[in-house]
Amino acid sequence: MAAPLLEIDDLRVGIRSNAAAEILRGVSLTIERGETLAVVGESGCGKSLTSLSVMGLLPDGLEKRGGTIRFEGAILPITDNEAMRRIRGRRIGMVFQEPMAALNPVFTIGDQVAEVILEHEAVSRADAMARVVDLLARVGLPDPAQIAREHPHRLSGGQRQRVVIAMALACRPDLLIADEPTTALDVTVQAQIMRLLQELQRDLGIAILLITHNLGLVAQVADRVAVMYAGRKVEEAATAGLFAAPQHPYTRGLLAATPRPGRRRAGEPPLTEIPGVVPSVTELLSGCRFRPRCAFAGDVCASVDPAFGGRVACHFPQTVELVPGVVT
Amino acid sequence: MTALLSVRDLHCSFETTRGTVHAVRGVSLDLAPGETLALVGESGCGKTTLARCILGLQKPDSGEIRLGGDNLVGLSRREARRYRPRMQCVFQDPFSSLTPRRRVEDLIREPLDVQGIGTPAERRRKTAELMERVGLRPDWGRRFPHEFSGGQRQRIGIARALSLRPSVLICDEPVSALDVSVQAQIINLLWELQRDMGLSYLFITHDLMLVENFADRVAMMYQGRIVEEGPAQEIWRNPQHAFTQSLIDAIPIPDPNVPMGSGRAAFSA
Repeated sequence: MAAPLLEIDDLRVGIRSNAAAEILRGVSLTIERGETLAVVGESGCGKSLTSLSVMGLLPDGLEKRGGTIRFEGAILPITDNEAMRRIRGRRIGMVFQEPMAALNPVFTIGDQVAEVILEHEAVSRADAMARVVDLLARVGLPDPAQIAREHPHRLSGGQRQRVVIAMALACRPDLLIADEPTTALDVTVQAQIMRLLQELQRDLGIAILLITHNLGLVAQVADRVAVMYAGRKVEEAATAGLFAAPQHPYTRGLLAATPRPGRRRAGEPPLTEIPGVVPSVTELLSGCRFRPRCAFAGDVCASVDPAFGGRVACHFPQTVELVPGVVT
Repeated sequence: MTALLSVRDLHCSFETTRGTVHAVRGVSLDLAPGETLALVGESGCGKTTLARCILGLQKPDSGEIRLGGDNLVGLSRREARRYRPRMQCVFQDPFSSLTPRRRVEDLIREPLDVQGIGTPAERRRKTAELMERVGLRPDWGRRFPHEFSGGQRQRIGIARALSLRPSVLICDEPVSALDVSVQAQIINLLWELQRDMGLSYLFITHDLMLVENFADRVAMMYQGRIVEEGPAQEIWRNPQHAFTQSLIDAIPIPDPNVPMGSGRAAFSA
């Protein structure tokens, strides 16, 4: 059997100045060619740090403490910036939340997309520019030749995100990492961008690692879902199975807290809360990190951090199936 | 129905380098006592400008804003100050709305100090009560805003807004920056406060799905106008305006059985 496209095995990342503080506490994920894996969780759970690790872009002050990341079976040299530069943009494309942060305001759109191609491929500037116009058309921008001559500030937020997607796809990567790609956009524009990503995936066969907190998007576009909490993967399942019968109490809590139409009951609080907050990285807590917020926790949860056993990392996984649409 | 807050044919425009922008084009709204009215629209639709007009932070071109029958449009700053305690606001980013170098108890007490309500001892006691009411431990009062999480900071913002016992809270995207579990905590807190204190909320948001779970009525704002208005659940079940229909269809429903682009089907799924 061929190796998975991306395989993260027991990845550990910590704060350099604090030996006790571990932000990623043994994360394992795999992505096959052409599939969409969604990584969900609330802020501080480590989902963005996982994607930054894959790209070799660990923020200053953090260090890799262990584990491996393999791409097509070969170990990714994530601490070797020179080597990673040849992989980023060519084999792995990236789309972030803020398109303006990825675009340089003083260069034209055409120059910036062409630069990605020229960085990785031995082609002439004229050939690169011709490809840029094709790419801009491919991501659904009207009058691509004109857009190529514009500066970023002349474009709307949705158009800018299309340009960033064109840059990410310029060298036909196998994996696209999309970290909250539509969070800054209006919901109608979000739908257009997600539809575009799905179309491109179908036509080009790219795999997508979608980092998001939006369970609605996950339900609609992901093949599989990994739920992260406090630096660990706590549940992973095919999308339909995860929404129909979530097993980890955190997954159930997330689904219950998410607004959805038709669930309102007169005289009752509008939403279902998860009590408490995500523990901070420096908070020392024995056993399961979700325990203080969990309604199902027992004695063992205080002493033993549950291992991930195929589907879930929990001593008391819940097995009652949820009636579709009525998450309680 | 006697409206507590009533907006009539409000217009507001700005001069920009690209010409005149008519942000609010003849908006009328009524907010009843104890009611939550959601004002929903996408970025640039004019909803924040409308809120700024209501709060007296932006001067409208024409129209009326009535609070308990009195028109606030055209009042001098000094006259407008008398109405301030009755209408308070909660913003999206509690951190940027809290002075970072003041202790939390001082921030919550500040409106009471400014309005000179009660003795200093009474104001301190009132502050402790407010903190408890919004789910903050009163002994955290000596801490600074940066020591609190986003959800706790929003609780601080709510306590401060409630200090003068307003009848209307203008909430501008109060939970948009929060995680879903914390969003649920804050929405439920607002619901409880309304139940116990009879507050009215003008709840400004882009999130129609949240509103379906929380508001009594919804006003849909598009290009400076209210294009549709009705009970929250009715709007979702039976949207009339093309903008409302396209917005609902675009909302991703957290249910894999509802395909992308068919939000209106969520009720039948």
